[in-house]
Amino acid sequence: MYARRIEDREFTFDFAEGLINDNLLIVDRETGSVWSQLDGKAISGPMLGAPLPVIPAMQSTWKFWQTFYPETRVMVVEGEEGSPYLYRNRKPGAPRPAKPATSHDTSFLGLGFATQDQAIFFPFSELDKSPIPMRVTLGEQPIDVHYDKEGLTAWVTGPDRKVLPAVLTYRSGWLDFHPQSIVYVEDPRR
Amino acid sequence: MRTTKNHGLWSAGAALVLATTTFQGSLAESRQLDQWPRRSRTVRVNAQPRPGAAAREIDIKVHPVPTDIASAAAHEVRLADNELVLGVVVKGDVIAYPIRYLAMYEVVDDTVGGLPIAPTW
Repeated sequence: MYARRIEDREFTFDFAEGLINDNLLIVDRETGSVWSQLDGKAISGPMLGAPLPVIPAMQSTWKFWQTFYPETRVMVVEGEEGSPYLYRNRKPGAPRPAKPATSHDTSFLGLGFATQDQAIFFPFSELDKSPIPMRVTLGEQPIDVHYDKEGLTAWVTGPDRKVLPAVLTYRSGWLDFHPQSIVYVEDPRR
Repeated sequence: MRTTKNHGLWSAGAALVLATTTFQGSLAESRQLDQWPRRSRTVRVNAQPRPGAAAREIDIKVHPVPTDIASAAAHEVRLADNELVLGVVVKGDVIAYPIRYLAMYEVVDDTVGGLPIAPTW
């Protein structure tokens, strides 16, 4: 989730069919620059290299979100039902469902968090075994990792308890953009 | 006006504070998608034409997406408990984007709490 404003300049994004690192692209109407969706940076055009400000957001089940935010509004598209998107487990290693998918595999799902210098990925399969919330120090930065199995969600907070920008994504997608990323493994002795 | 307390998920100290939210709760106030659909266009860029393919200079199609998002109160929509949503809180304004719709558009342009945002999926 990005802010569409860089300093005083506002952008309007459209969807583009091409990919970078197997991840979709978006194009702004104002300059025609092409941006990576997962990276949030312009890969071509007048805004080349510019990063969009990331804002904390949470992907979760509807039940989880509504429990915490019963006053939430919900995006609707009149005349369009769409297809409900669910996660369900399949065998690890099985191919991803072809689009249009109505389910995704949780086996490779996790939470990616990056600072300017370092990146870390927390597989849900490891968070399942971890004490939650879990304090982790990335470089000099301590963070707390939160996870809710039923809500199919995880998030990161800083020492001041502010929610920090992080991404729920597949392990392979995260590593495509952060090849040096640490992948968290729960210590079985803990 | 209805006031709800933060249940502790995103703390009171958070930049995105959930304190009070005002809503009228009616589909009638949903805005129309005034700028959609528009014509597609193309942009030339070094990119993959499909998953797994090598990147090369290609013309990619750019498809317009909604820029004026309609919304409804939670009790006015029917979503399964386990359906996925992408939620955000900005200055007390709370909204969830069902992945079923983000999967249709991949990105939409909205404004929440006065902040122009681009939910993507």
